[in-house]
Amino acid sequence: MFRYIVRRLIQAIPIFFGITILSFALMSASGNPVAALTFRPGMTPEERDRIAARLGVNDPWPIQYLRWLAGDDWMRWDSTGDGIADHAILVPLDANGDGEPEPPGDRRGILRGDFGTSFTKKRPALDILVERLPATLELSIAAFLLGTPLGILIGIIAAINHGKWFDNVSRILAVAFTAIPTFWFAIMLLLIFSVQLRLLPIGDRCKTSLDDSCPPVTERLQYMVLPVIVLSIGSIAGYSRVMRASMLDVISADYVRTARAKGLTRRMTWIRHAARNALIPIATALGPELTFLLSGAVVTETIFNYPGVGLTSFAAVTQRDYPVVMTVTIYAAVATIIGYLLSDIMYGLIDPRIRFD
Amino acid sequence: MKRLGSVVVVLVLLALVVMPVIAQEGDLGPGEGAPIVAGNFGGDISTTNPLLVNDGASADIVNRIYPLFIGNDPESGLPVPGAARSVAADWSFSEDGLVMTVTLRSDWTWSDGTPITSADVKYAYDAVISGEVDSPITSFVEPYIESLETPDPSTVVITFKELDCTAVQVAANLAVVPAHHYSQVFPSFADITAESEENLNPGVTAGPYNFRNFRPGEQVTLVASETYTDTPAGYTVPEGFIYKTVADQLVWVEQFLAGDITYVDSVPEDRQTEIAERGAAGEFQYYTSPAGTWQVLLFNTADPANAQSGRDEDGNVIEQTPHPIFGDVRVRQAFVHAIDHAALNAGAFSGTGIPVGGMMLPQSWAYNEALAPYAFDPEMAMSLLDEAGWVDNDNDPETPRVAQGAATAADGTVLEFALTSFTGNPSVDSSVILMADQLTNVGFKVNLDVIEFGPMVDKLLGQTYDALMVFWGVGVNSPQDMIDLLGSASDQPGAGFGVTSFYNEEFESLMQEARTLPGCDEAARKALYDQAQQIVYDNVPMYFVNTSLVPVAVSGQVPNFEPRKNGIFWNQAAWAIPPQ
Repeated sequence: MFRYIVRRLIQAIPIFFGITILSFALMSASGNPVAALTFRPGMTPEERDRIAARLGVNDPWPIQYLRWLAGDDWMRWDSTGDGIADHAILVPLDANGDGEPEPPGDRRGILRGDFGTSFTKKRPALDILVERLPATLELSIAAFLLGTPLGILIGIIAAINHGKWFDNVSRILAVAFTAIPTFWFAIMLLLIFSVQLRLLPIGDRCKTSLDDSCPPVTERLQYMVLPVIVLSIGSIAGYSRVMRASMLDVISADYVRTARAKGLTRRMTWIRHAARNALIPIATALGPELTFLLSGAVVTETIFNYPGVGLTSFAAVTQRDYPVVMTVTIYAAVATIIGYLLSDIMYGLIDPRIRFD
Repeated sequence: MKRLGSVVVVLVLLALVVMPVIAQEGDLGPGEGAPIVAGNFGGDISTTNPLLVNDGASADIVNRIYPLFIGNDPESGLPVPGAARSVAADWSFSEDGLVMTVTLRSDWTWSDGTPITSADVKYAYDAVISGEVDSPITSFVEPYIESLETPDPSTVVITFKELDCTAVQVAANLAVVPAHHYSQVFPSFADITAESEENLNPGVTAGPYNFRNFRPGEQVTLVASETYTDTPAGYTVPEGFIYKTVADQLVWVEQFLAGDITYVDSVPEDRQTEIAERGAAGEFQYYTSPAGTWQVLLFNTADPANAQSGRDEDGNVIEQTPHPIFGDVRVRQAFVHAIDHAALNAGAFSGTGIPVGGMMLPQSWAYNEALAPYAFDPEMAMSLLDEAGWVDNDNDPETPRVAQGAATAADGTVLEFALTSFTGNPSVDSSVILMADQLTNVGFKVNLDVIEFGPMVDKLLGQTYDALMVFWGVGVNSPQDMIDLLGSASDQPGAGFGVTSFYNEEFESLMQEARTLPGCDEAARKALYDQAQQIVYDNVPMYFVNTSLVPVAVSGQVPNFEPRKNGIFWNQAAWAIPPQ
């Protein structure tokens, strides 16, 4: 299995670069962020050009991508040690045309761990992501732990009780919760349980106070209830439908009938023989599900004022904050690759017919 | 004796009734009030450095942890000596008006105990004019101030380049920073960069509050300063100030209604009626203050396909190619005559819009009362279009007019333009739709171009739009700001705010005269500004859709919310909210 994982990780490298190139190209096509960043009275064209040159946003996007990837300390450098750039390749020595060379490049690029500085927040983009990760992780892990087992369990029970009231009700609810838009469901929950009934807080990650940080998760579970329900409800609905269908296929298979004919109890047959094989399609869905959860949910985090990755990536996109957008993109790409890898590994664990070698 | 006893009893009873009211503020000592929680809808702060602050969220924090050089009177909104949170105790001018001598107060120290002196002003000034700091303050002071000297720790002498009636406002742009601390943290001015760690963790401050921490995505926490005295109570009453990030307006308002947030300083449009009713019912305190902006429709008077600067490098006016439609003042006048403002106000602003005729807002001393908004007169609009050479050649009012002898467009050109606006604001969304409908009735063809804010700014500053709707304004008491929006020197595609490419020599001359009028008599200056506004009114480079009242809701738990005309929260550091 180790060799398989290594092989898959190596195969993932071109996928990773493909994702980043596509993302960068799309983002660059959305326009130059300098106008919005310099929208203030008294700003002169020269000053604006200087800022654009410093950010490097006037370069062709492949150059910008290369700078983001491998830095620019090798694109424009100072060979004499006087602090003034005197050599340049790929980019002009004087980018803003003011007759003066630009300062030497100081970015190292993501390949050397430099994810750049946020255009709007003026802080390292990686720091911004890392600050937001805990909030997203606590929601996504809770949603995953709630949604996946519950969805599978409901699917199994519905299949076992095929055609009975539980099956019918769970199917209707599954379709309903799949169809209901997340933003509407989230707002309704907020209005009912927080605003009207006052049973739960109106958004936030923890109680507002002068304290230096939020208390541990265990002391603020009430803040997680609604966002976790919203995040997991889709999983519950989806998994229950997939599991039900899969279980129905399996329990009508010959080997299940054989097991029953050999005298195994119904419960033993469903759990040991049927359920395990019925889980195979679930493994397919787990990869993308993991990616979705880890990447943060923009709508859920916004409505519940939960400061996670989704919320910050949305703001970064609307502000054309390239370094933050790309950092989140990398994170999401890595999460996707890991998610699909886990899916494949789970295949092997669940389905004995699959061999990694 | 019995009578005296009765009097004493009455006085004691009266005292029991009255004393709690009198002592309401005094009941809570320094830092004993509950913290104020304000919602921040603008995203995380980017800095707390007064030299670098350039966004509303950061400014909200800077205004609570740093002194001002010159402060404003909360009633008039005008700079006054000795204003709260300011270091300028007094000032005077030389006879020629070129030299301003400012005397600083001597009773204030930074949070580390170091006295605040003229060196702190000098450091800030030197930094912003050094050319090494990317400071938004630079453009407000460098063109006007010749030099700034500090002969002693309590005196700042500012020499202006020319007689300037706005000198005090110019000087008020100067910052006050802890020079002794900054010179250690930033070895050179070039080190004062947006990326510095000091910016989000300031070591030394002075204001109603001290900085405690910044929790990204969650809040900025300030705690009461123990040495601040510029409040009606003589100290900072709240234990702290929490600037809480709120991503969604629904959550913002509901958290206020639930008591989690102390005030909402700009109630979202869709909740204004409800909040006003609940405020009137006594559920909380409700106040409306005149907005400092108008919703305005800007006309690009120059050809968007060939955006040019208003002046060349030598300062000479560049004659620009006129916009094919809005290059003709009669078309712009026809446009505004075609708008039924009453219908627009009812449909897009729930009747809350306040019509304005000129550039200055009604609460300003320079407001020109004579300028009534253009009347809704479709006949006049069509007549003006006919006169301008835009004719209804098929006698079908449903189809757009075409050029026939128009001064700025070839014959056969359709009277068609893009009306650009940005997404996310309900009143803007509604007003552009209603406007488009009304304009169609007189023969315009309007293509709505509703885009995100960033791309809209690109079009605005790039001057590549035809007509564009935005919220904008000049300083309520700073009529000189009009030149920033309509002066040819500001007409710089890609950067300047003179985005309409409007040029009127008389307007610019009046503005210059008002700025440099010997003696700076306010009435005489107002007369000049009135004339300037009249020119803008007649030439319609922009159509002022309206201004409005900003609704503010404050928790009923704040006993001493006392808004002033130009300072709703002027006494916030004395708000005595009972501790929970």
